[in-house]
Amino acid sequence: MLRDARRWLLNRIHRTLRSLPGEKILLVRVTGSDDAVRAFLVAHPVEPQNTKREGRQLSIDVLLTAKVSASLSSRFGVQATQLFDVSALIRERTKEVSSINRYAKGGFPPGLGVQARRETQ
Amino acid sequence: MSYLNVDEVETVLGNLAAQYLNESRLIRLPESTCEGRVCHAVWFGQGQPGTKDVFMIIGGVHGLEWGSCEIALNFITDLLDPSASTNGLQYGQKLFSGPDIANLRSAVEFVVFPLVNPDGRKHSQGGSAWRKNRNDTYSKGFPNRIGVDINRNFDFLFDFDTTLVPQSGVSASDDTSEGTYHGPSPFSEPETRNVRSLLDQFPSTRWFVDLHSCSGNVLHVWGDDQMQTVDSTMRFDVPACNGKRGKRDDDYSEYIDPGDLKQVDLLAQAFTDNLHVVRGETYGIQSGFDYGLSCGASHDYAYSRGALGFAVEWGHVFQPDWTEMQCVIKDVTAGLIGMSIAASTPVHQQNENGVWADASSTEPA
Repeated sequence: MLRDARRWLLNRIHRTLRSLPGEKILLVRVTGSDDAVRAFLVAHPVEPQNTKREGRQLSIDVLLTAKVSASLSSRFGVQATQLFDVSALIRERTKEVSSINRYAKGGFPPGLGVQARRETQ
Repeated sequence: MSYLNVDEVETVLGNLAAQYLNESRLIRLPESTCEGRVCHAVWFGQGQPGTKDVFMIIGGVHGLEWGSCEIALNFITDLLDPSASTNGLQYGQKLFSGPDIANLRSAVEFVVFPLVNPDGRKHSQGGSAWRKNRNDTYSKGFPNRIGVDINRNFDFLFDFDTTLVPQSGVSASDDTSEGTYHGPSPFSEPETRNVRSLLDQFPSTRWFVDLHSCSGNVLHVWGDDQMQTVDSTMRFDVPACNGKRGKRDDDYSEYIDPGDLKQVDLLAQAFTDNLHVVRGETYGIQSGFDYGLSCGASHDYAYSRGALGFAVEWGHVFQPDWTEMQCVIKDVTAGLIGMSIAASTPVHQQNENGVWADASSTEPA
């Protein structure tokens, strides 16, 4: 009985933790020499976005937790610039996600290509 | 209209296939996701499936990149509309004529899998910048250790500690707390196995596009090193090359067939040219390696099986407001149609400027 209660409680806690939105995520521009950026990536193997090379400087945009981002400026010899708060934006955008299944009774969203053609006629 | 939720994506796919019974098939993927969701893809074309070259598109691999599903669904909706083959399709300033679309429809088959990772999308649409799937097998109860990056779980140089140079800076990890955690083994995840099953089911897949966001780029093979067309012994599948890949400007470069390289360049250019006409957006073209050293990515895996692989990084934010997202959908759909027309054009009819970029069909009638 006690074991069942404990299992139920652990499951409940686990489920609650899983449903939490998670850590604050920022889009951060990391700039430095090839070696410096590689050293950063070895420590934080994130996916680079928007990779640009200007002379000997390489810049990449990456998703980082606020905690990692705050610790970056003094490490690896890279410059870190916060571009925007991805977590805040995504919370805002959840308002633009349908809460019901609008197509449960049939149909599908109109194709934008065809729609555009009709608009011009 | 606004962003589709996970249930709507699957419902819309089913409704589309039901509406166009004669030209499409709804494909149920063999594996349910970790949260028990069943996924579908759509095949469409003329004649029986598998009798022509296949152009495959997948989307929704990363949970937070919502618009990929809407782009893929719009691509299906527009091309399946019977009037498109007579009246054509227009996106902003870009017009594909009726004969353009009719020729494309008769030349190739399409397989589109809009939502590979519904669990990740569901979690992200709850307000989280979530990239991976929601497999909690390896998390030991820690919420930040849930999930595997599907686009690092394909069987392409998966074991980066062996296949790449040490300290390479590859964007893949064996740490479960990282967003690029690649899983315990290639194809450990049901979502990855579903994509593989589609490629198995359609061995005539010649072109493969994975929709991602967000940097305004089209990426092509290879992701593990710079490319060269001379020495075919320097290949991803040669064990003697292990430990040499992944470093810029050294002795190792990944081999690509010269004809394939030409096609890769032409198709990427066709994508960006057609996209640009819509409203003037300029997307870059980069190899996966120039974008960021990676392994286990879908488009490299697809090319390792013989399909020219691309990843489109659409837009400039992960979730644009819906008004801007509709513009992105038009941009990318035009790019994909232009690319597939170029792909279906026999090589002997292609030229430097590309017959698919015929000036007569780029302006509105």
